This record gives sequence, structure tokens and C-alpha cells, in this order.
Amino acid sequence: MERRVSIIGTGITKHVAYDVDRSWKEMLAEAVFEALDDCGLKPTELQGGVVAYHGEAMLDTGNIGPLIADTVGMEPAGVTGISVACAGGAVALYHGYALVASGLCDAVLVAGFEKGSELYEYVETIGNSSESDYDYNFGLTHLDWLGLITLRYQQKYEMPDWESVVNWIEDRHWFARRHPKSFYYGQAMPSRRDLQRNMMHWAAARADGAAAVILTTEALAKRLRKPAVYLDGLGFSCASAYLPHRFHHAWQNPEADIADSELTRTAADRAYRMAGLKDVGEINLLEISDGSPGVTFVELEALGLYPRGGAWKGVLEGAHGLTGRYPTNTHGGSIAFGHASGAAALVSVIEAVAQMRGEAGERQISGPVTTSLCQASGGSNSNNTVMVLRRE
Amino acid sequence: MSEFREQVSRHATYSSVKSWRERHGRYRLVGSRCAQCEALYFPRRPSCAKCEGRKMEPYQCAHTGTVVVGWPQVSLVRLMGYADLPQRHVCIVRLDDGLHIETEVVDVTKDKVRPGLRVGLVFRKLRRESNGNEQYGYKFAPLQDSEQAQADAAE
Amino acid sequence: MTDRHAGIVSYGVHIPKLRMTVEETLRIWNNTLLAIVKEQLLVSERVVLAPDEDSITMAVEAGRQALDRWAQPYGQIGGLFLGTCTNPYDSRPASTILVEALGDNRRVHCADIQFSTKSGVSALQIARAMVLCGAMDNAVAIGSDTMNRHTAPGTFQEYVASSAAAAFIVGSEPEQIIAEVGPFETVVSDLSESFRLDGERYIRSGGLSALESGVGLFKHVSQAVTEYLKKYEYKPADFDFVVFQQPIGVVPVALCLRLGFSMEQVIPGLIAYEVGDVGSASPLVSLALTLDQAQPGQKILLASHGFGTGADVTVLTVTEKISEYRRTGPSVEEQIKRKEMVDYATAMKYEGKYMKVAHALTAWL
Repeated sequence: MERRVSIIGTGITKHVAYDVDRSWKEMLAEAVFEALDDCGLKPTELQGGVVAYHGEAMLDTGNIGPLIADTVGMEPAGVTGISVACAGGAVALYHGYALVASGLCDAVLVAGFEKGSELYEYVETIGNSSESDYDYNFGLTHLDWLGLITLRYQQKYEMPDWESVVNWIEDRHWFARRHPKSFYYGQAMPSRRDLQRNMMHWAAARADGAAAVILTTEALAKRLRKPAVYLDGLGFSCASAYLPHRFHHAWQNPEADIADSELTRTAADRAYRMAGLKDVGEINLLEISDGSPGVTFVELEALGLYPRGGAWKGVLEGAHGLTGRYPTNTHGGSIAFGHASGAAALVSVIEAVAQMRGEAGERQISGPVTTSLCQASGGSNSNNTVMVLRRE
Repeated sequence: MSEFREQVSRHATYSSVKSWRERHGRYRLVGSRCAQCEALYFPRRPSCAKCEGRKMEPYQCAHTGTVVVGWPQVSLVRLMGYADLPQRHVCIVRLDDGLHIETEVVDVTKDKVRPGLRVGLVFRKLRRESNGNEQYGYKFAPLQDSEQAQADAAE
Repeated sequence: MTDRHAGIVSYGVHIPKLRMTVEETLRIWNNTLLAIVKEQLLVSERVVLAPDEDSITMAVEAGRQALDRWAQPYGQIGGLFLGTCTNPYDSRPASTILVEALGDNRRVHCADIQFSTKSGVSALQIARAMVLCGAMDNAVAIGSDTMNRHTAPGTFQEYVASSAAAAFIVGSEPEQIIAEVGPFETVVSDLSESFRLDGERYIRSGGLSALESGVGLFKHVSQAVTEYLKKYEYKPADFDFVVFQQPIGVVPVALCLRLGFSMEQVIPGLIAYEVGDVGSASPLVSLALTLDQAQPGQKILLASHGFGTGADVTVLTVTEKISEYRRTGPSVEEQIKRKEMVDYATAMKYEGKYMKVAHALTAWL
């Protein structure tokens, strides 16, 4: 029998452009210790771990599981390192969930981190996490995908101007100014003009950073001091990493388009059914991948909040700010909180936990946050996860 | 090759075989066709995603197509070996046989890169591999008026 | 052997799009007079190589056009000979890359022919001989050179050094032959007009080919043509077109006057004034331009020259089949006219003449 799984502790490091003083191990340890302290567990109580990063080339280090088990003091628990592009943190959570739900482990570490500043060829290294013989080798990068998706969305749905996009970015910057761990905390708000100018490549404030959560069973969670947040629905879908396949692949319908996220629809369907979420309108908070305007909008649509081509109108009307109908990415998202690839999707989940616990300070949504929806995508929109979080 | 007196340490230098194996795809857009249901694919693959057949034949994709969406690549994230052109145009092209590919469109100005632009395959240098060899492959360029006129006449 | 035919069954040309005026080079160096370049050497522009083009890519483009026009299965190609003196690789062959880039046929007898700027016509000679002797029924001969990439900044050759490729398919099937290729007459001479040693980037030249020096181009071409006319009992007036190697525009004009041809015979094939010295491709692009205009029954005299090699002469006889020949893709004239001008700084960058770090850390570091 599957056990209900709870997130009981969270930790994030301050996201910065280059964490010069610390190695990836020290950075990760800070997030893990913060998560452990948050729930009051000791490292030795952890029975397993799943940690996402962007691959061996990023660190000049492979086989990170044993290194992490040793670094954070959780030996001899088994730790698995995974590499799933920008969705890594969420996919680690998916597998961590399975460890607890299945009864293999009672307390599990899930973490993600990125130390991209350590590597000159950062763009090369993230660039080849794709159908690399046919895109990376041709000088085509992830940033191209984000740009192509955005332009396609704009052209297909005849988005009249970039106002909705600028609104979206501006909201994320507003939130990030109110999160002490964020990349832009304490800095002045950029002008709308600046935001518009950088629109196409505001994929993210690329950052060094780490995030960690502790998962456990419902029974153990109820004995701890903070309100438990439950992972009640999960969906994870993968398909070809060759972006043009989003348009037409033999198994897809001929109407498929990069300006849509078929995989998020599949993952959402599964997560909603698992969580018994009848109506997406029940959610109080939304956390989604925001690599580019187009990606953001197609995810909002794929989650069922808008019909195809409708998201930009909702964004334009202010539905996703602090007081909007669906407050979204209230930590600032990858755009403004900072994007540490392996950690980013986990940072979203941690923000949801903070909101559900009422710990979000200036960013706190008014009214109880009982149901959150967390979506993440990685690669050319080729790894997509959707999770439903609940508080009792 | 090194300009340093001592040889520079690094990892990730790939055998020329890795690139050689994909040469037909890179040179001539050779993908796969399912022997059972005739579904077409690019890049090549070992099984059919539509009918689950495992007998796949080489299939040379159409060498002409139409731009579906294109954008001017952001220079900040230029990959090594692709830094010489001040502007690169990255496009998704719908080939005339219905397959979609992602490719650079060359010999073109920014204002021309729009949905509907007719393009054809050209053979260009991609970049030098980490092992020192030149890598060649397809890019696309706008069809010249004469080529378009001939294509129209053929239909 | 005597009943076998060997003739052109198809051809294709590739001239890159980017160009630079001689005025632009003069603006930077001021090392000659504009009148000398434009009115005496007779060159006004040259091709600038894009950073993703080289002798191999141009050869593939020219070869693809020739094959498209031929419209016969690639499997019927028995040989491929690439003539170039600017092979991107010193030791790895280029013709093998071409064979696989042009189609799916691994049973092709192929070779790189390196014989200075006569490499292209040498490839044509070999293709003709192979077809004629029955070793194969169809062979591709390509001339492709990037003289611009191998010419040093600040030298006189810089005004004219250029790039292009031309491909000819030589076949034995009379129904397909658009121009019969006659026997060749050759003069060779061990004269170092220009040279490039192993490991060196730039071709060095004393400029002999630009002068009526009494040795080199003028002497060898004159000798070969004169002997050819004598041996096969031709008079200059027997030809409808005369195609010469054109390192600079004045060469075909001067040869024409010297050998007793008329300007009408030479003008249809002139390319150097607009595209400069395209090396091994020079006489072949000129031949293609001529074939674009030729009518059945017309005769073309082809005379090549390569620095340090000597000269070849042959005669092509255009057949009835040329009227049915499907000229798909852009014509030579269209390719000459299709251009985008760039400035000197861009040309230097694209042709890789700026000093860069040997061990790049990233695209920009």
C-alpha cells in the first residue's frame, strides 16, 4: 500500500552569480543542513537521497551520490545523482517520493544544485543536454528553443505586443525583491523599458545555488513541529528532446505545436487524478517553469488555467500577481529569484511549502494556501513534471 | 595545438567516430522510414514510435522546406565554433515531406527570416570537433528565385 | 576503346555570395593604384568566403547542382575527382567527404588532385580518361579553390584572390552528352611562379602570371594552344568560344590578342572582372558560363594554366542534347550577380586572418 508522503523540511542557499568562496559540496551542505534543522531530523536519520545536478562536466566530478552521503553525514544511506536539465529538482522529488511511498525509506533527502560559474563552457555543457548530434553540434542552444517557442506563441496567437510579457517579468521581479535568498534581493526594480529590452533572453538570472527538502511519511510528519505539506499528486512525462518533434511526431496529433505543452498536459492529467483535484480552480498558488515568456504561457494553458492562446490575456489582466486570481512564482521564478538549474524546480516547491506554512513574509498570499500546483519543465520542454501539494 | 608551453589538461574529447556515425544525417538529412507503416523520422532512430516496428530504413528527407518560425540567435550564448557570424538565424523548418527540423538559415538578412520563407539545404562547415577534425553538415538558405520558379513549375 | 564517348553530361557551379570591392582593399592598404587594378589587371571585386565555407563545401554545392541537373541515379557515378590546391586538410582526403555528402554510393573511385590552380582541369582530364578507357561510365570532376583564404593581407594578390567551385559530370552515354570533350594537349614546366610549403598558410607569388614575363602563364598557354591548333589542324576562327584560365581579367584578353582570337570568342566566358581569381575553378566556371550560352554544334577551346604546372588545352564540341539539358538551380550569371558586399574588416574576420587564441575557453573567452 502506498504511503502518503510529506515535505517536512526545506533549505535554500542565497542564489548568486558566482559563489566564489564555496565548493559545490559546501553549498549543497548549507541547503541540506537548513532543511534538516527546519524539521529537526539528524543526517543519520536519512535513509536515502536523490540529488539533481547538470552532469559531470559541470563540476569536473561524477558519481556524486557517495560524495554527498559523506559530505552531509548521512552515510551509509544510498544517494543517487541524477541529471535531468532544468527539471532536475522536480524529478529528484518524484523519485524521492517513490522511495518513501513504497516503504523503502522513511526519511529521504531530495536536493538539487548548480555551480555553473565554475565552468567556462557552461553554455556548451547545458547546450548538449538535447538531441546533441542534431542541435548542439549545429550550434543550436536551449536559448534558441526558448526564443523560438516565444516567437511561435506570439505569431500563432497574434499577441499584439509584449505588454503581457513585460507584466509577467515585472511581477517576478517584484516578488524576488522580497525574498532574501533571491538573486535580486535588495536591488532596485528595473524599468519596464529595460525589462522589455531583455525580454527574449531573460530566460533566467543564471545562478549558483542549492536547494534541499526532506521527505517523510505522514506518520512521522505529524510528530514534527511544523505543519505538514503533502505531495498528493505527481506526474512526470518525457518525450524526444529534439525541439522540432514538438511540432509533429508520428505518435502525436498533426496539430501538435511548440506553442503548446503536450507533455505538461499528460503529466497534469495524471497528477490531478492522483490528487483527486477536480477543478484546477481549487488551487491557491501556482509555481511553474518560466524559462521564457512563451514557455510560461504554454505551461499555464497546459495546466488547464486557460484555453490555448489565452494565457497572455490572463497575464495582461494581472491574474498572476500577489493579489491576482492565481498568484504564481511568488519567489520570483527563474527570471528573478535566480536559476540554478538542478535546484530551480525544487526552489519552486520550497516556495509553495513556505506559502502553505504562512512563512513567506512580504510575499505571503492573503488567505490560507491549502492547495498548490508545481510544474517544471526541462530541456526542450522534453521533461515535464506536475505536482499537487496539499496542507491539512 | 596548444599555445601554452605545457599541454592543457581537459576531458571530453570525442572520437571522430562519434561524428562519422551521423554523417549521412548531417550531410544529407538522412533520417528513418518505418518499413512497416512508412512513418518518417528525422533524426534517424531504431524503432517506429507510431507502430512500434523495429525495421527502419534510411530515408533522405526533402531538401527544401518552409520556415515555420525563426529567431535571431542571442549572441551571449554563442557556442564555440559558431562565433564568427555576427548574426545567426535559427529556424524551425517544415520540410516538403512534412518533417520538421531545427537549422541555421544562412545567406539571409533579418527582415527575411519570417514564417513562410522558402529555403533549401546547403552544405556548410559546422565547426571543428574537440578532436580537431572539421565537422560538416547542412544549413539552409533562401531558395533563389530561379529555384523557386523551377519548384513551382515541377508541381 | 575507339567507339567509346566521353563528354560532359552535366555541370554545376557554386560562387559564394559575399564580395568585396577592390576599392575596399585599396582603402586599407593604399599599396597600388585603383586604375592599375580595375583598368589594367581588370578586376573589380572578389569573393569573400563566409566562415562556414571552404573548398569542400563549395565543391559539394557545385556537385549537388550537377547531379540534380543530370537526374540519373547517384549509383551510376563510378568516379569522383576533386581538383583543389586549397584542401582544408593537408592529409585527410576531401573527395571522400564529397562522395558521401553527394549521395549514397560508396563504390566510387575517388581522389584528390592537387596540381596548383590547374587541379580542376587536371581532374577533368582524369575523369575523361577514366570514362574513355572504360574504367567507369560516369565520373565527377570538380575544381574548387579558396585562393582568398590563402592569400596574405597586404599583398597585390589580395585584390583578386577569390573562391568558387565548378563540377562537371563526364559520361559515356551519347544520349546524355551535351558536349564531347576532345583530346588534351599539355605543356608542363617546373617553374616556381607561386608556392606554399607544408604548414604555411599563404601562397607566395612573385606575380609572374600578371606579366608578359616571357616565362609562366603566357608562355605555357601560348605554347600549348599553338601546338594544339597545329596538331589538330585548327585555325583560331574555328571556335565559337575560347575559355582561358583567368587569374586576373587581363589574362584572357591579352592571350586572345596574342594568339589571334577575337574578343567575341572570349567575352562570353569572362568572369575575373567580377569574381577575381577562383583558382582551380577559374577555367571551369568560365566553361560553365559558356555552356550556359552555347548552341548545338558550337566549338569551345579550353585552355587552363596553373602556377608552376604548365597548361592544358582541349576542345569541346557542343551536341544537340544541350537543347534538352535541364538547367535547374541558379545559372552562373545569376550566381555572379547574386551578392552581398562586405567591408575589409569583415573579410579578414571571415577568412580567419585575425590572430586568435589557439586554445579558446568559450566562444568569447
